[in-house]
Amino acid sequence: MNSRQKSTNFSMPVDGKSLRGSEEVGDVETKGGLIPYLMVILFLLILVAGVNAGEVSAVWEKAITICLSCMGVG
Amino acid sequence: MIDIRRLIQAVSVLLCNAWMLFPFTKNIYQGKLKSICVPGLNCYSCPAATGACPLGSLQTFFAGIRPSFRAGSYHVGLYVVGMLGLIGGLVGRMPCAWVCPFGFMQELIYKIPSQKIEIPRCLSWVKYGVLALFIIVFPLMIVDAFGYGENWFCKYICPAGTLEAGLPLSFLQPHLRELWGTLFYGKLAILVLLLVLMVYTRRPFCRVLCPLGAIYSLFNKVSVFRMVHYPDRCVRCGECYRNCPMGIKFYEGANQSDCIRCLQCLRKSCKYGAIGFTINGVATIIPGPEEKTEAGSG
Repeated sequence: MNSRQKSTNFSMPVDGKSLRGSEEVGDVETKGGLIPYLMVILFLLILVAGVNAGEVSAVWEKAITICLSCMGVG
Repeated sequence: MIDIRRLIQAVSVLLCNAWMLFPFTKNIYQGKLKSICVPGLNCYSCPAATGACPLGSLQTFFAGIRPSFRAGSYHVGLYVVGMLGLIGGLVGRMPCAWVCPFGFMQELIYKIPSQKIEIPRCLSWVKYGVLALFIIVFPLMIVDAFGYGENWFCKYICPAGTLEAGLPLSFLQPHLRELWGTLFYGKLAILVLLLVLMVYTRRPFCRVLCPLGAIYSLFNKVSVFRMVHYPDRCVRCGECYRNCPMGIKFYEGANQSDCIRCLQCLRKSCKYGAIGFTINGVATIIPGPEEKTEAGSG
């Protein structure tokens, strides 16, 4: 079977078993658990903490002022 | 047929720079939207900018951390760190490919016909040094008598600032031209050098210098959205590399730090179904162009 034929015969993977043999998929299976979600929740909490600390208005105050440093003149 | 990514990139540029009254006001937009950081690199001093630059905001927090503590406000940049971490945790470096205005510009300039060259891969590490030093260490540690640091990346490197703010504002407010000096011309030289490089090589700023890309890239291997490589289907034809805006050989690793998840390899390059992605740990695969054609004709 050449590669061209190979390309026409693949089936859609429906579960982890059909993907075995792939190093990356093994990687996905081990890291696909809670870690990404815990990370997202953690950063969401950090974001909320920043909002509560009044950092949104601090960003706004900086952003509405012409930044001479950004322009390269200050 | 309209390329959906190009369309999203163009819409993003317009949304990030939607303040079209600047020729009349001769000033930057000062509305409430400026309190929201955009996910890509877009200078907030661009006259048309409607959002804040995450890198500029982050440096400002770090540079002002001592006075902030003295004043009891304790602004340390949690808002920006949280936002960047949230985006990175969900999709990794995907914003670079889909919504970053500066990345979009680089891809357009690369379309200019010329002999193309490749950047040595080792230079990809430079951006982590830029992130560590110019975004974090220097603004935090090098301070004046009052405890204020500087926005080192904005001031000494950022080509987006020169292009989007320095040049247009200098023409809108001619008195600013009197301030042009060594610093400005140095930054202008960086911009011109990068613009020339953009003609010859793929996304040179993103690959070598961009600290925002460096931040997002830290999440590539652990984000909710991840790319998947199916080695049993891969013939290593190199088509993914030829069409990749970041010059990645996908078969060498599915979630390399320079992968910006543009999905170009999946949508336009791979004919063998060797590239897919996972969301929420669920593997998804979209047949490449060849399979789509065969399915349609069969």
